[in-house]
Amino acid sequence: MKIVKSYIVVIFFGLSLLIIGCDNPAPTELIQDNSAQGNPVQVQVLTKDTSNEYYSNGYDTTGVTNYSDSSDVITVSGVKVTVNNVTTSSSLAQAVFFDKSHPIHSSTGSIMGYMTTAPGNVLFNNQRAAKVLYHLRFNDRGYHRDTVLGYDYILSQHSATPFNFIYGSDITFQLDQMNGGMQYSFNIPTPEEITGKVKLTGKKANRSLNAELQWNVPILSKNKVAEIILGVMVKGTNTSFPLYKLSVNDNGDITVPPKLLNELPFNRYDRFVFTFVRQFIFHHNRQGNDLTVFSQSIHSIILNIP
Amino acid sequence: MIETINISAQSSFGLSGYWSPLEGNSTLMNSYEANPENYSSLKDWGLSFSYGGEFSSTPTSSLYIISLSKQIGRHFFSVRYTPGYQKDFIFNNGQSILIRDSTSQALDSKFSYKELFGFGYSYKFSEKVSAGFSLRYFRQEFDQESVEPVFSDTLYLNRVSKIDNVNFWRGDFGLIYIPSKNFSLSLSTINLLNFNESAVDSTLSPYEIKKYKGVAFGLSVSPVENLDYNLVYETTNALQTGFDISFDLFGGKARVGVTAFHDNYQNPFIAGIIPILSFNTDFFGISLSGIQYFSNRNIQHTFDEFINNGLDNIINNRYSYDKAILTVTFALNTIAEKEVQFLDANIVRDIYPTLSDNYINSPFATAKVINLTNSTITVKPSSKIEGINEDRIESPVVKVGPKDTADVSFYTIIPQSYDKKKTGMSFVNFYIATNKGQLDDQIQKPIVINGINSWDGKVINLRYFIKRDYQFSMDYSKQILSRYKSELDTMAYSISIFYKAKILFNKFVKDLVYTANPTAAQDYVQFPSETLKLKGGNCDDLSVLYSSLLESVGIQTALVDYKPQNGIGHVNLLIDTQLSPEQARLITDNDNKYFIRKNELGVDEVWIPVETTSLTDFDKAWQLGAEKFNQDALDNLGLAKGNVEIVDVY
Repeated sequence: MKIVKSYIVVIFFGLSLLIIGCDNPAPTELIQDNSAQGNPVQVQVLTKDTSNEYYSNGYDTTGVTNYSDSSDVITVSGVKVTVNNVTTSSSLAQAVFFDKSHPIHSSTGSIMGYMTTAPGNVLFNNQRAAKVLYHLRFNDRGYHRDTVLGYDYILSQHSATPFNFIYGSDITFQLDQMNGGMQYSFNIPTPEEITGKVKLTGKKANRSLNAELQWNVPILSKNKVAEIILGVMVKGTNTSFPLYKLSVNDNGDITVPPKLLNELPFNRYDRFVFTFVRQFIFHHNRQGNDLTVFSQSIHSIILNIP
Repeated sequence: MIETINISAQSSFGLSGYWSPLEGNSTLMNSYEANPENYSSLKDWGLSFSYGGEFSSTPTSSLYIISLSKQIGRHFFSVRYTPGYQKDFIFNNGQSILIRDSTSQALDSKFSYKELFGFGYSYKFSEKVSAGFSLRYFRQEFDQESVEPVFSDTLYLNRVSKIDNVNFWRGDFGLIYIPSKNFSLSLSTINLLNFNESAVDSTLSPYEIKKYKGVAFGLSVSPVENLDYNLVYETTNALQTGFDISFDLFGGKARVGVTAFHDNYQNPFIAGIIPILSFNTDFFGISLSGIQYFSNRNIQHTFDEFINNGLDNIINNRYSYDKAILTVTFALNTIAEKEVQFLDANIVRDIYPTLSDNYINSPFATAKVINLTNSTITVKPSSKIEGINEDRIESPVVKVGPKDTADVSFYTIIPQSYDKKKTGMSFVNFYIATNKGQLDDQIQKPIVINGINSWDGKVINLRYFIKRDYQFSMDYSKQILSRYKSELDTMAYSISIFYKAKILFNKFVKDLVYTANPTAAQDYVQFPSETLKLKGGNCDDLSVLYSSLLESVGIQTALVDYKPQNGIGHVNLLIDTQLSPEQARLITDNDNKYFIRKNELGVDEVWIPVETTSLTDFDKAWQLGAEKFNQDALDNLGLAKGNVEIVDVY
């Protein structure tokens, strides 16, 4: 019996040493090669300051305004907005030329934007864009302030010479600079039209909201990225507020990460705005200034939060 | 959309391959995969562990199994802990967070599959048939990162980890049939019972271990000695086959074997082999096995592949790496292996308690035993008679050759204190052991224990009745003779013996009468004290009494056994007068009344026959005794023919 006890002690300590010295078996790393687990999605927060619904963050909920850090921005958009299953279409062409040497500061010292310039006449498809005042609205220490930064150029279907955005085609841009400046022009290719669909289920009361988004897959421009702007509308107003940008493969469907929908202060917002954006982005150089061109098809769907 | 297809893996795949259950392969004791019926040839405690390394791009080492088992009678229990039965997958789950327009953080998932522990039980219906089951516990951990917005004055995204545990039990039954040492068959279920601990999130179902139901058939054949061929086929179209060769080495058994395995989803057709080298003794076994896959295992796999094919075996799947396993088994036997066994036992004599010494010199039972080993053993027989022995009584040892049989004899000791007068039935337990000191086998038989007055009819055994009341007889004789002290002291010593015998006879016969044996069916002999107390007895009782009185004062006697003629036997007494033949004239002139016979020292002396049933006086009893002796023993040649026998009391 004494020998048996000795065996047991030796075995016990031996096994203890083995257990301590052991590794976990090596894991197998799987490559994420396609959408087997759903469309990969990259999430970006657009609005960091949730109390300032008026601050221009470079986006609006329609996705029309998408400012970059470039000096000059040209945007041509085919826009559809669906509310209560009724869709209205519009077209918009816009050009803004910033003067980066004249920033606009808030009372706290942060840069809210830049003054703009009006270098000459802007034409889209040989139709002259209207020069209008360019406003910036922002919240400055609790006060809503409107500031005119200068001018921008806008052409829409409501203009005297209506502008129609043709999907999957080209739009000509032309800048006739004043004071004998040179003419500057190029073609802007337009993306195929995007048409989205949202299946919104669940209840906000039990934080079970789920949104399955579908859109048409482009025929010509495959393997591109589509963007979904997820925004909300402030309760009782028509003020929209973009929250997240979801970058996904332009292959037709995505399930919005549920927490993005359910972790919202529903006392402030009563509608979701799902904006599908298919866009081309180009960069040009205009006399030393960066010029970024956004050519985009946009479809916004506004739904009450159930 | 996630889709799954049915695939099946080798369910009976074990780290040491598939081994024959023939001839007690203790290596199997820790494998519920190849042995779901929990069969084992272990006799007592067993402890086993398997430690090994996995040759992934970064080699790792793991303790795969620790198992403990115990045989209790026909029941065999086992439990095992499997820390190394684990397979993890890590992958990007498709979500990422973009920070400051440039930095992207991918969100990961980790799916972990583990078999944690298991229990096994089997029952041995016979040496040929055993059935049992195993119950195994699995844990599946699905750890998935996701984005969680934090909505306050500022909006930002957190990476949060959500772990879902989907744990389940798997139970399987099995049956094994071993009709001979060369052949075995087994039948076991695959995933017969599966039950989850809790409800499963439907979104996780595709990632769960697949649990295809089926049946596995096992076959082991030993066509020639020391060669085993093994095959297990699963109805899910998977199989294992192999062979092993064994040979004696350093007092143990060395084995070399290999198992090849095939299943439905691994390529090539024979997905790999498990070579094994082992060495077993009665007390421990050690084996070194390897798992060699024939396809390249250090390749990249896609999530698509994982989700389409699933996982149904943690230790053997398309993602498994080559392994080397060291398995050590200890047989902690507190019960020695049986080396000798009873074939039969027979009572050759009933027990007559008064004949106590008789059982020391002559066996009361014999048995046939068989040596189960391949070497000569020393068998130690012992017995214990209920109601007589307090402890086991050892009998002489016997050496038995390898696989040979032998007869062993059982002797016993009956204590002098035994005093039950009634005859009854009892039991005797026979035991055999070897030099290891532990009992190998035992058997019980009924036995008759007679009362203390019972006699087996053999006159020679009357001496035990004479002896039993020796102290009483001595006191009685001395008391009588003391009354004649002056007369005895004045006569010549040479004839004092004769006169002592005469005085004693004449004294006790006054109060005695001869009676026939009251127990006709069985001889019943009274002790001297009883005869005097009862004032009577038959020839046996009276001869016993008179002999006891004489012997107690140093007068040698012998019983004359007149063997039954026409069913009637008789006993009387010869008394050694210690007179030399020349001195016979001192007591009689009649040559027919004495008999010259050697005493215990070999000296011729005068012996006189006395008929103890003649209860008149000594002279008459002497005369009758002499007449009967002369007639039956001498004239009728009784001594020569064996019809009359003289039995010395001491």
